[in-house]
Amino acid sequence: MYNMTLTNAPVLESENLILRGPEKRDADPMIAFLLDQDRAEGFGSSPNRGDAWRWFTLNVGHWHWYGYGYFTIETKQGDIAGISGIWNPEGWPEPEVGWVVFDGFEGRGIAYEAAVRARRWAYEHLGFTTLTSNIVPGNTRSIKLAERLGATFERTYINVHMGEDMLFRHPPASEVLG
Amino acid sequence: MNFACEFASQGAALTLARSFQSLVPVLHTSDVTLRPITTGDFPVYADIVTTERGRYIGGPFNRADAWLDFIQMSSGWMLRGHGGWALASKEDNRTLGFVLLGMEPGDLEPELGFFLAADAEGKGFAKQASVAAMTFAFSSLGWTQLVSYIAQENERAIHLATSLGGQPDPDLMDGDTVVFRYFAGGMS
Repeated sequence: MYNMTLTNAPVLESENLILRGPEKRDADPMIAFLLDQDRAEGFGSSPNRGDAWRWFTLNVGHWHWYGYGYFTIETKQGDIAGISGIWNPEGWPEPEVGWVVFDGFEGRGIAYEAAVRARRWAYEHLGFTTLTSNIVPGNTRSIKLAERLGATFERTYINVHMGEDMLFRHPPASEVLG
Repeated sequence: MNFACEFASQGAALTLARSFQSLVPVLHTSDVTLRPITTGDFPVYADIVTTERGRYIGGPFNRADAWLDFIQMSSGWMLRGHGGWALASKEDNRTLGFVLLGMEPGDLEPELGFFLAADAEGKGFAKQASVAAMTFAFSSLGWTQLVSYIAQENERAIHLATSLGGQPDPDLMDGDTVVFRYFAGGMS
């Protein structure tokens, strides 16, 4: 069986990256990330492999439900480097831009480049006019990246999974698409 | 003049054709859907290869040869598990052109081909669709390389192949044809 695409996600290109829909072969690196309690703390780690697999398939379902979700980030060298996309499961205040970079791929600007591309796609092709990012207090790396993306802190709220969460608001579509 | 075979069949045969077509993987880019080729796409293909636009791919072809080529591109899926896609505009669903993971007599390995309708040029559609087709070839089919055979005067195609990370392959240059080689993980 060839690696069948699991969703109708588009293939997006940026300078150094390919963003594509999740495939079965992405499950292992994603599950490894989710089981890493330290690295996945700010994203929401999984206590066991079964729950991590459920998160992976939730993202597949999320794509079918909304027509958007987390893309798998591939480098142009073909490495699976993380995920980024638009996320809005039940209980979220509104759609957010999210990002995760896997172990060994940090410090190369991958999350920034992927989030910029995913956000642009959401504004251009999904018709969103505004987007947020939800970040748990203390996740300084993500807060820095949100600010680099031009997002600003708006308020704190209680997330159904994460507890106290900071809501950052991105520049609107009118500004990003200029 | 149109040949009768250019038109869709009817009844049970059409249903069967549609079920074959449904096995072709549908790929998406931000502006283009890569979808199975149907008889309805032939006029667009014929406009590309039977006119002056066909000069870089050994044409212009007569309509019968265009049809045979069109069949080859579509039936590759059934015989070899790779072939052509029609490119549909996400905006208005019109057929913009074709991309192809193809192999024809004389080819030693699969080729990435791209054919755009005149009114679809210059908007980045071929680039987007080629990236999607290459990602499918390398990622879903597990191929490691692809080539494009391009007439050396076809500057637009050479520009596209270069922008996709294609490397000129001097060993395969043959007369007026230049060959670009793409490597899995070597997209630029």
